[in-house]
Amino acid sequence: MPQLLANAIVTSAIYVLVGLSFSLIYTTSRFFNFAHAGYIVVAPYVAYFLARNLGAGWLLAFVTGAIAGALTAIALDAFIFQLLVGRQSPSTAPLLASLGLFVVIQATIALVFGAASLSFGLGEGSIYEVLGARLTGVQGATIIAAIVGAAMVWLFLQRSTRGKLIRAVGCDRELAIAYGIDPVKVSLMATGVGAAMAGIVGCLSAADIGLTPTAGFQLLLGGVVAMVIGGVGSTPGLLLGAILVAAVEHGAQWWFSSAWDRLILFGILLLFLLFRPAGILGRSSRAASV
Amino acid sequence: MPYLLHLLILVAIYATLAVSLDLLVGHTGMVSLAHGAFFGIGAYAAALLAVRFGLPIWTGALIGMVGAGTCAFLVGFATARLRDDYFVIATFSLQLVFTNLCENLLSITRGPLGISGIPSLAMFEEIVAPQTQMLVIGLGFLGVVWLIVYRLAKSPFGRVLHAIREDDVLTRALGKDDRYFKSAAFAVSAAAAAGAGAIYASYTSYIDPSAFTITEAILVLSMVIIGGAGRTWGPVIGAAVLVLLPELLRLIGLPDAVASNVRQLLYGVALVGIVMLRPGGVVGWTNVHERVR
Repeated sequence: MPQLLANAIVTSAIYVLVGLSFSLIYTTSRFFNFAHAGYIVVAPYVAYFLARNLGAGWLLAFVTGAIAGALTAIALDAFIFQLLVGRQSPSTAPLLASLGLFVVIQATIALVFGAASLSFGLGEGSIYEVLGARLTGVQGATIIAAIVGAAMVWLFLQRSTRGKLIRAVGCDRELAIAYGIDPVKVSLMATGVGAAMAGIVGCLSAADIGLTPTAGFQLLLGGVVAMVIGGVGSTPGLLLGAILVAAVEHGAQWWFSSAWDRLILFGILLLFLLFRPAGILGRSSRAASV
Repeated sequence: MPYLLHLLILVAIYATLAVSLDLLVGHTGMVSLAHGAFFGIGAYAAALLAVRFGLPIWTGALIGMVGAGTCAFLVGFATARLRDDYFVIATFSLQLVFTNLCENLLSITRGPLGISGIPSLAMFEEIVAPQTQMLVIGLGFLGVVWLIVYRLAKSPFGRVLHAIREDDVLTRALGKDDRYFKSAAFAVSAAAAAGAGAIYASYTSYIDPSAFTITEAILVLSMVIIGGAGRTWGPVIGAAVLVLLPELLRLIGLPDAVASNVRQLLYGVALVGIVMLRPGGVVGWTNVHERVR
């Protein structure tokens, strides 16, 4: 039982980080960015390449990977999404483009690295006993990263000038422009920070359970379900949502079989979308409906 | 020659899917990622009713179409008031739930093992080759679906759909129940997709969950967007391009594992390129004013 709890905490830590990175970008760009699944896996693949083929240390590889992922995201945002948003094209245009990019990134990675699961060989290194549960070093780092990450993002958005810029553009793009804020610059900054976070969580998860080209998609699903259930734009809501999602996933695996966890998860998401689209802590139910 | 017929049948099936999805995406402005699921409902309904209960395959196809339509009407009614993004997420989760059910309801769908021995829709084997008959059936169904979507788009019903696409709040304010119209469009679209699924199942005689996944849903959506959403011939052309283009890769002689990734790469790039450079799709320039009519 303590082991089950520990596993659920690690999973929810991952979903918190994914959800935070996604919602940072979502705040300013306001569309469902499927390419985020790509941002999550670009970093660990770059890190894997650096560490395995060039002999870099894992920490250096992870940091470089996260930076590479952030630069990829910024480039895509600058040359594709911002143009579509600025052009006043139909609201679905950026979403469709992101679907295309998601497919492109996934296929490119599969072409270069193959579709097989890659192992970083870091999971078995050190095992700690905490309150009767066994955690690897990577899992411990994930939990710490989630706590620090959530606190830092909350402080960044609430206290720092740059964070306030992001919230201003997210609240009302037109008004932000009237106050002399360049929404494109702010969006690019949010994308950079969000994608770097996505890269870090991608590396952590890859070091824990291995890496496939579709891993980003699986992680993004959990993170987004947590975000929608908790309430889009609310950091405490995201924490709550991530814990709920992880509890459902591990609970389902414990009591039924691992085959049904996704089904139950998406069933819950559908129920939330139908009856409370704003999520548990969301401000207004009008946010999600027409 | 059988290979060419095979390709044409695939084009007909996918064009049916694209045309039916276009009723939602192009005419009503609802981007749905659940089309793979309705395709699958039709295929599984026809296959299971035929293999398990010995019903004639066309009966199974009809039941599947009615079932998918009903299902889509209810889902459409429940999700009609969700904003763009949230509607995409809802249909997307529906698609994942369907795939999960297919893979795990082992007692019914046999999971990844799939269902084999599905009877063919071709009935006059002595007179015409079965494959030729399947092509006639596929093209015939495509024609019917195309005509229905075409006539619907020109009808008063279609004008309300177009109004919803431009501004659904305004449409509601003008006294049209947008929920009803959205759900009805969703139902028609899903029923057509289920019909295509039944034809697919009877043609390949074997189905497994991998043919009805989110990848499939994205592929069909790409066909609509690349061909030209809301254009008369757009989805058909998009389907033809995306089915036939990867076959060129096979002619070059790429191994299958590489070819499937290159194929994905191609349609991803095409999707981004079209959205960026020619939002009306490849046929966009031929009839610019059609959208206004």
